[in-house]
Amino acid sequence: MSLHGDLLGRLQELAQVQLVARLKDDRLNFPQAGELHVFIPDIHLITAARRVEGRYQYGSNHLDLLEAVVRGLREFRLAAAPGGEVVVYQIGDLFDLWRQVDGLDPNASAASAIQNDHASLLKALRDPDLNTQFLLGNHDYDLYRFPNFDAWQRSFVLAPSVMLLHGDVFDWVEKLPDEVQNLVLFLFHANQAGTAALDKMRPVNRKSRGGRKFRDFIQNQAPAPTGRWRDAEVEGENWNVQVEGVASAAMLLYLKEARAKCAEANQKFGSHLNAAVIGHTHHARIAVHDTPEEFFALLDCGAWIENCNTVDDPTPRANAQIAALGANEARIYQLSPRE
Amino acid sequence: MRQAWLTAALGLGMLGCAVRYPKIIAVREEQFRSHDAAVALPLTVETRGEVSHFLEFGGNRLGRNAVPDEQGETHRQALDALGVAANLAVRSDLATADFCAMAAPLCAAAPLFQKRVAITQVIDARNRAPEVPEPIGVCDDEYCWVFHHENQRLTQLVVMRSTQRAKP
Repeated sequence: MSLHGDLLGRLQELAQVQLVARLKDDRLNFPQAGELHVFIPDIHLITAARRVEGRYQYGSNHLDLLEAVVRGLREFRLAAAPGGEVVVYQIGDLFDLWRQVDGLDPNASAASAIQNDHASLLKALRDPDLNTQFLLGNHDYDLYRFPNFDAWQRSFVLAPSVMLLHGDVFDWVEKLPDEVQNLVLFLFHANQAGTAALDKMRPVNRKSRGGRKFRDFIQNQAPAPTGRWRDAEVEGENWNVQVEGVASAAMLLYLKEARAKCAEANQKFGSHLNAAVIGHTHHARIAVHDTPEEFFALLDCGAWIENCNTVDDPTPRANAQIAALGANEARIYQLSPRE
Repeated sequence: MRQAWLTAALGLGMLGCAVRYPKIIAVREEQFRSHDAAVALPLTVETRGEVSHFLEFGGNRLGRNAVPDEQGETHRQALDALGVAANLAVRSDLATADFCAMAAPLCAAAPLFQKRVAITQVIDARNRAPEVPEPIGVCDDEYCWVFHHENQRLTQLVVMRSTQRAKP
């Protein structure tokens, strides 16, 4: 059994699991069979009191299930060692500081309030045995100012070929080109000790908010279309992969930008990136640029907030996705509570 | 005069734009903490006596001389208040730096804590990772009171000599 298979087995003990997308391709150049990288996308936690006070019409999805999954991932990680290595990432926007507070009080930690209100989930996510690797998103960018969140990063390179980032910087590429002179350098420098690079880009992040309150939605007012799902257990080749030139523009969002920025990084640093893993859009999908000259993959892991639907069924389903990457194979699963 | 106003306005403007970092409390060495591990709340006669002894010795658990406690009366009120379960309700889900907004009953019973900043960044290098939930600290003129909490109740306390003590 592979680590992908083991993970699926664990998830099926806890939830109903369907396969959203699967890409198995040696050109991913990520062959390590003894490693599995698991990605938990945007959760956007706020306190229960704030949700009422702020009159938010929506909230994070299936938090009890998510907590069970996180605890399951801890067991999975411990069981896989030492022969296999499971690395779990929360890829940004764990907290929604933008929706939690209206004003700025430099001493008030909105993240602490949220963490206290979701203490059991956060205990599970921050369990040293799970050793979750955290990314800063745009809605929780300010965490970097708080020492208790010092471990949060802006990006990871999963050697040799994968760039992991929240994905909000691709908004900047489109909307704020003048302020982002060298995005690739920023992404790498933002992980250095100290906060100078993060301080410098903080105004850009705040500007990207554009004064929005996010009362009714954050990313997708309508359910995100995710193609066709299938039984997760059925083995097979690629499933529901969105190919550039065939798929609609919505299904290819940020593929071009991610490919361009990875190419820029490859040129600058001599790296060999040909895949990017992101969250941010709340739209689970795998998209590829596939030509005889070049292969590039974008794994968008989805979210645990807002909704999606499928080609077969337009009924809104609560986003609750987990993605995994290893042995030249990427998968996205949709989870739902057992009935 | 005009230049002075412009300079002041520019200075205030820059202060407003500067990134601010939150206050932190660093957990002190053994001799400057009331206890090795935080004690349960409400305080019992025994644990109140331990905190009281710590304060009487100027925040030095290993000290050999008692030191006059200039905040003695407000400390006594605080210890009284911390012995009453009804004073231990806390709104740990509020994103505020106002300690009394979080711990209103305690503040009402213990003036020591009034108009103090709540500090959620308590750094304890003995831990493998930051604690969840994060302790809530509040510093008076000489000491930092660090509260652990669960389910909207203050559950444990450790008092430490502050690293930023009032100057004579």
